[in-house]
Amino acid sequence: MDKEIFEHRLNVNRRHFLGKMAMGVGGAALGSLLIPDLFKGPKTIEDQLPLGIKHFATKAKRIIMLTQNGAPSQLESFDYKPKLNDMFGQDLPDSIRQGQRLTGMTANQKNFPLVGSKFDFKQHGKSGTWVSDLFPNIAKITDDICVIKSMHTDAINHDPALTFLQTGSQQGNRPSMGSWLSYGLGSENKNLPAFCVLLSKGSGNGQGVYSKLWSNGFLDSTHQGVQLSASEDPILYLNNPDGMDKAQRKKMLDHLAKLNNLGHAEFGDPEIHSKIKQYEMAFRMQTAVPEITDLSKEPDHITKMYGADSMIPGTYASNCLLARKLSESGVRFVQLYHQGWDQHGNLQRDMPKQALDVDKASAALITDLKQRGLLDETLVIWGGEFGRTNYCQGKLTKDNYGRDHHPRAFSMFMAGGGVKAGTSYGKTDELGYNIIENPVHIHDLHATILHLMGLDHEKLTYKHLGRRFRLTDVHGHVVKDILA
Amino acid sequence: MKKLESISSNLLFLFHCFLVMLLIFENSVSIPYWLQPLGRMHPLILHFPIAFIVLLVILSFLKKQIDSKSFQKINRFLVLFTSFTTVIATIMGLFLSLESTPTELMTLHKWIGVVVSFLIYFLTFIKKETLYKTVLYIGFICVLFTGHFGAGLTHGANFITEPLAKVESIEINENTPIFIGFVKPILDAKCVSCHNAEKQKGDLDMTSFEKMMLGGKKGKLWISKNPEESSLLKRAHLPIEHEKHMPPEGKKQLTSEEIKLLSAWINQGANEKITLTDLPANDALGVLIKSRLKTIDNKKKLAYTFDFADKKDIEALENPFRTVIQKSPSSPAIDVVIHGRQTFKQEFITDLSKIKKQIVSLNLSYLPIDKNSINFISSLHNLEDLLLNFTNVNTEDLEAIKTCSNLKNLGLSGTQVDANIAPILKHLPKLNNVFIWNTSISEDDIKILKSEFTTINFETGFISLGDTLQLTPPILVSKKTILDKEEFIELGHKIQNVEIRYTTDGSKPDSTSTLYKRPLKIDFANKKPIKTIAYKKNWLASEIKDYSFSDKGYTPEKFELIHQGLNSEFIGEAKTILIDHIKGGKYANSSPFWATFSEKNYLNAVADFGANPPDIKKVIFSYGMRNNQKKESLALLEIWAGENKNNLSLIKHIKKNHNKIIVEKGGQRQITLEIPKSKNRYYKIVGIPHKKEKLYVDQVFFY
Repeated sequence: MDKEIFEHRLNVNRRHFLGKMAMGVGGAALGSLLIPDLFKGPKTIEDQLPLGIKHFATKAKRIIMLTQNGAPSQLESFDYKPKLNDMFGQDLPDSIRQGQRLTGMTANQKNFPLVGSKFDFKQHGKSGTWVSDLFPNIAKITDDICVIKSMHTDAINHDPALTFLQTGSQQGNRPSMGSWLSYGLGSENKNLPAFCVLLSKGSGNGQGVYSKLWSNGFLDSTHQGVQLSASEDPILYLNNPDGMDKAQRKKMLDHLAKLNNLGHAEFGDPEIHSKIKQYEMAFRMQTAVPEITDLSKEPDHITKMYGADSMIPGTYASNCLLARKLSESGVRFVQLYHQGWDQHGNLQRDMPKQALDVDKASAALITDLKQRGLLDETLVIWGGEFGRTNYCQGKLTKDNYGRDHHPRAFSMFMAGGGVKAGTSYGKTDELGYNIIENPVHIHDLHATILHLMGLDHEKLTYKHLGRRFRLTDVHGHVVKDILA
Repeated sequence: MKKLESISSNLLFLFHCFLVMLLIFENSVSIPYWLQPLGRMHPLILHFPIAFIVLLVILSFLKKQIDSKSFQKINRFLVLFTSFTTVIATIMGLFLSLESTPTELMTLHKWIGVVVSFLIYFLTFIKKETLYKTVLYIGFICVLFTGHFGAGLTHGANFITEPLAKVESIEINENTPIFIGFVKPILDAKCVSCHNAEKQKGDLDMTSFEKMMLGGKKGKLWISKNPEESSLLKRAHLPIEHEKHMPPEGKKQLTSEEIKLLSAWINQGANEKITLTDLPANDALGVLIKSRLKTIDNKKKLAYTFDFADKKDIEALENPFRTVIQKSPSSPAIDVVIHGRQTFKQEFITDLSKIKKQIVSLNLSYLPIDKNSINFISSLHNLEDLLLNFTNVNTEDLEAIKTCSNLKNLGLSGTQVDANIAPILKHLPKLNNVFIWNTSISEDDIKILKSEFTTINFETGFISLGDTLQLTPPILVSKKTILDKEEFIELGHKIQNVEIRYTTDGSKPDSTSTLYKRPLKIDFANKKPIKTIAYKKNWLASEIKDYSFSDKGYTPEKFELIHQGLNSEFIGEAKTILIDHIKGGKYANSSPFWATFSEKNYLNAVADFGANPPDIKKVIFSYGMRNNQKKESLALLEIWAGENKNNLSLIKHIKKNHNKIIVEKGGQRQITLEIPKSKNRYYKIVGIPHKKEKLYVDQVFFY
């Protein structure tokens, strides 16, 4: 027997070899039968999108971000520093400044005279949150909000700072926060874009807002923010052309989709599919949008709550009201920008006007969400791209002063959506220049926002240019202390 | 035997190739449904290789007891058969593994299983006895491991140690001794890994109360009622870099809450047997324990016990108007939101019957829902959040939802519900929030509700504190300000039920002025603007807003241009833009109602008024400036007239210098040209800008 086996092994000739090969190929072929996509080519990017997948269950489903563009002064809003009033006109000590770089506007200034808020502060609500008299309505809802007084950022000028706040990078070309959320969570209401943008302008010194801030960057173009205009038709070109009815439109779009599918079969460009999807969504938006953007049917007390301005298209108040309606209808991310907060001079004259524009409507938005039972699942974020200096820019007089850009410390507030209500987080020194407790970087803010939306900021990635990108890039920690 | 040898070696090769293929393309392989039963037979088949391998091992010890020839034969046969069953069991296992998401345990089980299969296959080639034995024994050990992990998969990872662990995982409640329920778990997690019976660092064993009482090398672990002097806490309080800090740097540290609890327990007397019920009501330790118990309770409540819904069912229910989404991959709970009043059908709700059990949140705000839908909602027993804001439900309809006994949040804002909802709320013991803003429930009734249901938070929303706001001015709904003699203008307001009052004589309007009721006709002879103001009860009157209107004049039948203007990417061409009676708006080049001309492509238009031309006395030429334009752009403007298109005579012209000018904001300019009253069929307008300037024209009027 032993011998037989031995000989048998010796007899492995060409025929045996080929026979065995056939077995091997057969085995592999058998296995390949179980791979359905083997001959279908590489998957499209679309197939790989993790739409609608949350990493863990959470409360917040939607975000309304009230970006106060131009950077409102934290020292006249939420960060109360009475010491600055005591030290009026004294020079900022170098020990505090610690070589902080300055903008071109104050770099040549000989001295940096400290100046305190000309507006009084009071404590409000059960939480005893400090709010300046410029924001009487926000002061009424302090028990619903969480003020973060220890925000800090990397950039010192408007455009990079705003781009940083929106996209996590000072340079453009990265997806905006809303696009990331649209990518990560998809749309809640498929008749509306997942990411909408509303612009308004106050009377103060304005800074530019560009469409790169709501760009989809390298993500699929379906995740781009859709800007709603201030005109009677908030979304342009949504109506059917004269003489075309809904049924005809649908037929036309169906045929167009067929043609586009042919194009896709030929070129395989995933953007063709996004285009088809966008046409179809636009068709559904034709009925959904007028229902939402018609503000005239809001009851009287709602108008009063947001202020009479809420009926004038393009104002901050009407944008807040529209934001509520969009969010209520399932828009994942509503981004507002209100320009005019850049008070380098004449702060005393201009900031009250800006505050008047936004105070009532911001507070109304939060109250309105609350009374509909939506505040729990909607995260409202209010704040600018950086803070303002504790010293005066230009000539300091008894009743006129201005403040320059200050990236080292500023305030923001959040409400609803799993945030610990009625709290203040973080502390600055008694001159309001440096953070002394619990700093929150913009990357941390992003990580926290994603966490509240049920996403792990380290897992929400997109491969581009050979590496995986995140909103927080390689930074960011979730600020657990402000989670409810 | 030879035939068997050849068949089996070929088959084994085939199966192992197949196995390699499966492993390489694991991520793209999908098992058809008819193969799945084969995979599920893995737990049955796997006993063969296990038994055979054990047999091979036993046989290897019995070699000397059996005559060599028989041994060879039996062993050979057995090895082939073992390899055969092993590879089959492994392939089946792979099939089975593809049905579910991999866990760490499964990955271990899988790879060790694969290793076993290849080891045994390798065995069929080995002649050398020592190598054969080594490989066989390694294979045997691997079988033990993979078998153990596999058992873990079917029976649970700690199946074997479960009976032992059971003693420890007792239900924690107020009667559990605080040491067992709260103190020991902390010490077990943070201390015992270094201070146990085997590894007694500092001669300290912290596995039981008695052992801890013995203390360690440095003496007692704690001094009863004196946490400050107890070395357990003293060590924890030392700075982390300190050599004697415990737990040592790099190990998991005690949290401040845990330290608080330990010191409270020592402060109370470090008693092994004491329970929460033994403690006086406001004892510091008692308060800590109570709050811990509460979090444990809450965690228990959060877990849903119902099954996951079928993924396919969820997908089938998704449509553009209905969002059906699982709260998270690890939770069976489902949120449902239905959108769009116009596109809504009742089936959108009633179709959800397949996921009845899993729906915990349902948002139907703004939808016109009927009785059937309400009845459907009553069958959702796990429902926690129900938003019916601004739907048409009334108190009577809500009777049905009594059965949703898990409801926590109920949104009824803007519905017709009234104070009679109280008896319904009684059936909903878990309610936390009820949203009744904007309903007919009066403030008094709300007070009664609040006193009756103390655990429910009634959200009544924003109540206007009588603050009065100023109205915005009336708006011109008809928009057009250049009108035909027969045209009406329409005023309006965005806010409902606003009174609009106006004057036409230039006087200030007030509350006694004419009330606007219907669209108006304009008297162009009256040059005064229409002054409007808005009034409403409980609002301050608006600012006064003036509206001026101008006459359209005569519209030519035909209007032809030599050059169509430079910017024809706008919606129309110059031949329509210039006589469309729509003003260009603020600043030229900012809207599509402007036509642009240059020195070369200047304005040269002929208006044809047909066979019966009107009397024309006046031509108004309306043009504009760019935002940053400082100098006059128009160089020459000419009006020609005549009966024959090719033979017109110049009747009026104006020349302008290229001077600096100040223009009002908006940049609109107008030139009125009085011409001798004439009844010509053709009028030619020529407008030439200065060199390098552009001429922006929005309208030409003929009166």
